[in-house]
Amino acid sequence: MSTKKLSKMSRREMLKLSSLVFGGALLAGCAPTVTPTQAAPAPTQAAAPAATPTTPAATALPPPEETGPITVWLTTGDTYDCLVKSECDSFNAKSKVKVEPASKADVNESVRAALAAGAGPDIFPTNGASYTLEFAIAGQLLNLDPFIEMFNWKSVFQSWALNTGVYNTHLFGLPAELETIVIWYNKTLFDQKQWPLPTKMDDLLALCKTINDAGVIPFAGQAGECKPCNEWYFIEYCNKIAGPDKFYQALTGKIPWTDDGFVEGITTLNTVVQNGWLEGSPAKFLSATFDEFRSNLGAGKAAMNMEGTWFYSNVFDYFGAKANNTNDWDIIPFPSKTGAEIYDLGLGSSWVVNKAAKAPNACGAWLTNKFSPAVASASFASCKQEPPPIQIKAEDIQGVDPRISKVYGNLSKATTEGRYGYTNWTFFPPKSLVYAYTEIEKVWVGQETPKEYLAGLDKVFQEELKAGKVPPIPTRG
Amino acid sequence: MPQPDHSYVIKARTEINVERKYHMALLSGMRAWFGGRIFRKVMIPWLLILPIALIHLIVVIGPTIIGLYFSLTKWAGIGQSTFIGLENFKNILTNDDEFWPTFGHNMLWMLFFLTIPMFMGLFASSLMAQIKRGAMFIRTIIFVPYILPSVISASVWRMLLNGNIGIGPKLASWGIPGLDQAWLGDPRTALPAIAFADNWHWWGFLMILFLTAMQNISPDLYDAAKIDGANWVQEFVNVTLPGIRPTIVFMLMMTAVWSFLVFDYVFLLTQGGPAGSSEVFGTLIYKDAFARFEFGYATALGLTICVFAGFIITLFTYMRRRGWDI
Repeated sequence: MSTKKLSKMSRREMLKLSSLVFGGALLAGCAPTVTPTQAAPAPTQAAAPAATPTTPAATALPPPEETGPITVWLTTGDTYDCLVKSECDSFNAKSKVKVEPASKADVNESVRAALAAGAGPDIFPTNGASYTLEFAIAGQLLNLDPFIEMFNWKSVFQSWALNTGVYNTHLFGLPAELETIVIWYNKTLFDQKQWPLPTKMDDLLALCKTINDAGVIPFAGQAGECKPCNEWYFIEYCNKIAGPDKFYQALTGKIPWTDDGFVEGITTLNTVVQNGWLEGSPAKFLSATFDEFRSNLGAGKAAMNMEGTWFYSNVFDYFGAKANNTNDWDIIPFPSKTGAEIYDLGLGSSWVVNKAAKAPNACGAWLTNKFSPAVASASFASCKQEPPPIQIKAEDIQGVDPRISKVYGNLSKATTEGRYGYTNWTFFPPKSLVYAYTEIEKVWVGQETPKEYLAGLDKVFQEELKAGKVPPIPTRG
Repeated sequence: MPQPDHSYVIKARTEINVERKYHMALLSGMRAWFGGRIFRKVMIPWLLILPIALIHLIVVIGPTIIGLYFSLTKWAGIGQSTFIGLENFKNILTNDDEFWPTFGHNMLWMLFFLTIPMFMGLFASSLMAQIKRGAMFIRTIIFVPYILPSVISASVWRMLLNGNIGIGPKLASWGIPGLDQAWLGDPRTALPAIAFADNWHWWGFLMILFLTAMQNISPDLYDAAKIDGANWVQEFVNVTLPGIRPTIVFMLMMTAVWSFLVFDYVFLLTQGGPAGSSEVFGTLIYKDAFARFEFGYATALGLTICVFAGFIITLFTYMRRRGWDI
């Protein structure tokens, strides 16, 4: 697809999608949430994703009373400069209190040492809700309850997403990137080979065999460079085979992780790995890197890549002129066993304020600016930063590829209709998270059976559930 | 005519004399003290070492004591810690499924680095000692990997050991089979493959150390050996090895200690995987501290490693006291 055609399609698609995707609510929900005077849901019971809200999002920035400046740490990366421009410069242009951004290779590790020393930035992102929970338990974070009314956050965020930052009935973190896992596929290759797009798990497995027989790797993937990324496979095969209802029940301790549905999910995943449908062979999959498997997808050596929506920020590096090929890409949801289109809810980083912040109101104002539709839209379009779970109108979005817009539209619809699952990185406590992504390799190399692996997970999870380490889980409506 | 009263002058002079004597005695005493043996032999060394001792106290002793305390606590790395006594150590030795396999991997690592690079370093240095022309160039070439940042070396080796684009597949395409596999993705080969990559940068350093030690051996000894009709191997065994024995033993001890501290190459190449097959104490501690939020437990693990390292040093010290020339 040429750039010109893409550009035309983008505008047309944007108009088409406006009513669905961003017109009413890109990321819907306005259920009551925690306030200083109102009791919040219990830590493991967050409000369910609700229908499209009618209240407008708060965008005004109350003038901060403090003098500042306030400091914010951002993760080093390709998008750093773009995000500074979008999130910090826009704030400094209209605020008396200035924000000073700083780049850190690993904010989470840097900030822990800094906080332990009584220093650290005023605002920083954690790796997610479970990490925010640890900081909150340690008493290092500012209670954000007063800002909920001050900055009208209830009308800005989806309640389920906002409640993931709740600990002990108080709000401590704001959810940033809304993510889900999908299948990115080489559209050119699929069109050439006339392979059908799968809508059910059985179709997917049959397709994998067809692709493999054609001498192409069905799924590009890696487990050599990023071990935590192993959780993508756990999430998809458990949510889509056992079903999100069972996943919810397991997360809330109503059923064990050794349930037959999860055993079937992990067994199916293991079949995919053992058949070499992931990167060619278990050993190649276990040693592959990001650049390697994504290049395989772009070059047509592999047909599909099961990865999160964050791949949008890199996908153009592997397809088209930049990658010296003429291939094109597209996205489909990862098929479920029943055929229902299910999207797993994931939140990337969680933004928190240091308890020792000297200008807390200014911090609240900066967060409000960051999560305002205008700034979030600009970051999405310019920096390819995934949007937060807030409401964004169609006219606020410019220059976003329609294929990714469609995913967010479908995700919005799915959450409204209750067709959503759960991601580990958002809803698993730390030890269970590590267990899930490290021990699963023992299944892949034949050292454990799926049942043994899940029994171990259940043991760790039940201990953490008992200790109150499980983040708030959105209830199923 | 009344005599002038000079008594005040006499009194003043007397006082001055007393004061002078006092000062002289004081100076004499100070001279005796500062110029004395005790001051020169005891105090000056302590005064000279004081600045570094203070720095050591702040950056080594202090954190060690703090670490010792946190190893006895349940601590997430942030916020308050809870004192739990020896619970962490008990869990390490009895409940941690990862501890003993990891210990085994570290021991294998130690075994590898106490043998392969040592032999390579000794062999290469004995050959290099005989090279006169171009010696510096060859030494530099062999030493360069040691000064390369590990992140660079590891990235290069990750590609070379790759199952699709590495050396193995390339050799296979030329008709040389047997190496065509993903070395870092197989639990049986991951740890040896990482050790191989690490050794690539390490053995050159050993070679330079041994070569330097060899150059301190008196040429007379080699001449004498030649007169006695010794061949190259006999010279090496009877002259070279005894001559550099202190260096060899010191490096054996340090290699054994460093084997418990390995982290960079393992973390960069496999992060301890696949399936924990290359997990070493360094990566396990990292995982416990930064992913599982178990800083207290990780500190206890770190101290446990210190015990192993301390045991090795004690062993060498004991051997030296028993008369071993090391």
